Amino acid sequence: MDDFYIISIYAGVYVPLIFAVLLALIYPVAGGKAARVLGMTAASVSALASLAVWYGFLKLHSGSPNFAFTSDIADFLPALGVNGISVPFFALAGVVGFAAVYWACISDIKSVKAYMILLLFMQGGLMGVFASTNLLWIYMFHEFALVPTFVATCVWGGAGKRMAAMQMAVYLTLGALVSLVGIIALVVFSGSDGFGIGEIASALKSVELNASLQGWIFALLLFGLGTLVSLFPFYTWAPRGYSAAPTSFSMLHAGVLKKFGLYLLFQVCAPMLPAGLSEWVWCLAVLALFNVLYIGLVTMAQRDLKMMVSYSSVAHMGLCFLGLCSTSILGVGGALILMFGHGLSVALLFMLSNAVVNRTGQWDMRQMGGLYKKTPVLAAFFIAAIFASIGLPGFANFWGELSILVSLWNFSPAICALAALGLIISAIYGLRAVAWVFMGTPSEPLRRDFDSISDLSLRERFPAFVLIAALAFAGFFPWTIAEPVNANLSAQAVYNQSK
Amino acid sequence: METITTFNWNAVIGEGVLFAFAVITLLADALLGKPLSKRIFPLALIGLFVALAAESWGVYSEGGAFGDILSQSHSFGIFAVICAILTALMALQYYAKGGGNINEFLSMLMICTAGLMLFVRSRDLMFSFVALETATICLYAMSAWSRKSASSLEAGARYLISGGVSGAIILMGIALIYGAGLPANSDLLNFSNVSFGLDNGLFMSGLMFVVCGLLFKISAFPFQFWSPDVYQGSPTPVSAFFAVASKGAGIAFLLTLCASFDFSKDLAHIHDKLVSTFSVVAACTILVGNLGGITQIRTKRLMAFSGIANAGYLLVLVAAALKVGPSVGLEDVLYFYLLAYMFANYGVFFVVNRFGEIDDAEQSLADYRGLKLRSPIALGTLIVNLASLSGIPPTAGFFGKLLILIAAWAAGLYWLVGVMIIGSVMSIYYYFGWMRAALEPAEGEERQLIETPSMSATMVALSVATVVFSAVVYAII
Repeated sequence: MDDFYIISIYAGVYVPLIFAVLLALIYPVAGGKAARVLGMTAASVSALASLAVWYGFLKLHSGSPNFAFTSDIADFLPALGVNGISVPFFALAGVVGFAAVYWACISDIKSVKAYMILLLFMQGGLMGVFASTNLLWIYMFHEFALVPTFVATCVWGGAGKRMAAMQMAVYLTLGALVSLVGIIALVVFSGSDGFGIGEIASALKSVELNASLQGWIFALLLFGLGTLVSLFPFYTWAPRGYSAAPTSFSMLHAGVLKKFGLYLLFQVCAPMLPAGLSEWVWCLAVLALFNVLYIGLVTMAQRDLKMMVSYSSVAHMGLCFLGLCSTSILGVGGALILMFGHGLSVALLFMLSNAVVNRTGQWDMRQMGGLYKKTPVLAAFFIAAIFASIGLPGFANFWGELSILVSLWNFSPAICALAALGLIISAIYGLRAVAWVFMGTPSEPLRRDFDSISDLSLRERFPAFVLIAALAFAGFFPWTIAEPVNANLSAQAVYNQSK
Repeated sequence: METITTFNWNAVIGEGVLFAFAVITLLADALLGKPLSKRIFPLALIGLFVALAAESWGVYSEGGAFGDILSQSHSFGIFAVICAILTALMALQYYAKGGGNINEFLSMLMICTAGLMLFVRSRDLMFSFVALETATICLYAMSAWSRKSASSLEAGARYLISGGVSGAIILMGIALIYGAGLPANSDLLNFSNVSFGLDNGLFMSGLMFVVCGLLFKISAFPFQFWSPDVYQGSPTPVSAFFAVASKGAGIAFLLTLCASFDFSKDLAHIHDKLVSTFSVVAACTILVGNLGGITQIRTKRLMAFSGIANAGYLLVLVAAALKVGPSVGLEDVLYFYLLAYMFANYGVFFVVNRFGEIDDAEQSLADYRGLKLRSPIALGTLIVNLASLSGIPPTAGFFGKLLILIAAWAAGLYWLVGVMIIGSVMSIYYYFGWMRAALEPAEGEERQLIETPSMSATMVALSVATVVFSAVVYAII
């Protein structure tokens, strides 16, 4: 039975990449329609395969802390496999990727062929990040996204794209290279033969890295990966970049790619460098609080809809970092569920913001208003997405935030209280955005064309429905994430310190 | 000194083929007269491919040849001949635009390549100097080849002066080293004996001169100032050859020289000093190259600064090799990096060469606007190869940098790793800036692009090589 799931993993990772190459090969003869058909096929295969792998993992290996469905065909191809931590994110990448490609297909985009090549290439990379068992490949798959995002922002981006694209490229390269040095340090000092996560872990069993060495390596990784997850104070690339990038790329970048840094911290850094984590945990907690509170306040001050969504995604990352601070199964597990929920909700928000802006023709939320009358379905989706994002019960984010706060109480009641403030802030900016955009009466500039505004069409509803359904599914059945995550975390000594 | 008793001609078959075809091409060009001579350039290309075959499949034995003044390693030969082939292909397009005599250029290129190959293969300082000057004299002529272009002539004159100075410095060093060996009647010029001179002041002064001369050749700090002007002014194929083959030769020679030192005999203090000297030079070269690159808007000048930065990365490898001692792995890393660098650099220079004017010296980033509509292949080539130069996976350039980072970390040169990271991040700004310029819509007048199917095929092949060559890394790791 494993064979089927192994093939599914391969399909999930390689189909988008192969289709991207295929599309590049037939570039001169293909039309926009061919690009859309190929894109949708690849994204659907990828999404179905990833869901199948999730299902298979729950059915067959749910209680196992190890990588399952592993395979290693050749040296120069990545060794693939999933474990309890990575499998939900593999599915997340599949689902968000599907929605992003679908949204690209129904949008009116100039030279859609090139757009689709870049998008599929990035999507293949994202699937690969969460399906690799080798650190070097995880890193490389992550970097697959850098050039496509840069190109897409330069060509199809919105206001301020020149600066935003460059800022994003420079920051992300800085973060990636510093974390690469951290990875190299980990591999060299552990004496491991290669970059495989399993190899390094077993090499570390025979080599005892002293605390100060662990501290240094962890600092490198924290700085590098933190920059990639927009940890304070290296977050400035994120809001600008997301709001300038085309919608599908923002969805993938904020929804999935940004989870890479946290994923590596939870999967690799904390278990392998426990002393390093305990040395830096307070520093991390303070920086993460800045994300939650300071960026939360900055988000409140935003008037531009896409900027507001971008900043809110930076703010929410702070809570995920706080989950790590508690170094408990509850906290880290909660952070993982929150990452999953946030990936879906932020992608949905980017998509719906795009739909709102397509209708109103502007970004400024105060220049909107009253849309509820003309677009009830859009409003319903948007409000649901905001509810999910601020962590109301019924959606995945609720379980994540709840467990993080509960676990934080054991770490430090003061930090727990401050972090809880962040939830109130997020409720303020989220609900106020709903009020500005959908409630009240239409503002002066909007009133002229108000009658011609139409609701979400059926084909626009479909990807929104998929994302909402995934959010609600994880909200009502959180065990589908919690069970494999718990099995994995319970096997790691670092998360089982009695506190 | 031992006399040469055996002539192992097999060892120099690649160079022999190149010299022979260079002479044949020249003679044919002179004797056949105008209309026919325009059609003989395939002869030169055949010569290059025969040389490549000879280097790849020639019969080589272990150990030295010609009384131990030549090694029989042929890794650099293969690299240099591929560079020459790519340069020749680019030159065909360049001269189709109306440059000078292509046959003379190709024979000059072949002699130059053969000279570089002998230089890297030599295990004797005196012989290496002769080989290096053979190559350098050809480079003087090649850089000034566009006789109607002021910038090309200026580049030739500049290179003549700086190259002449560096040649003189090397020769001075060789004289000192030879003198240092006289009292003990030992031939310190041969690489197998150089370690005996390490505690000798005269020898060390001479070594310093030689190393400075070599740093000149690879345009490393503080001898990098000539390269932006020369790269900018030279005909584009020659700039590419400078950036890749000539630089690669210098680094490969430096690595061999450093690998032949044996510090085991109570020379730890000299070892430390050499390592830190090379580390500081490498760090400064990286910073100067990348900081200089940031402000450039002329493409060929930008490539020169990129070349300086890459010389810095390669010097990190030399420093690591000095620190941990000779190892086969580091040589593999060097050639991997050089090949990756070659694919990427030639890919970019092919795009630079695509614009329809002979004089590329003033070509700027603004000329690239609107490239998206004019030539998707050129745009794709530019993006892939610039990504490789800036070290973004999955291109080969990433693996080149990764291998050097690993080597430096394993050698304990942590701060150099830091400098390399800083340099790479800075380089994003100008490489991606170039990409961004190419992605922006055109404003006003566009420069004409030359489209030929063969050149497009070469560009696609280079881009594919830039990506696929990554797989080779798994043979090294």
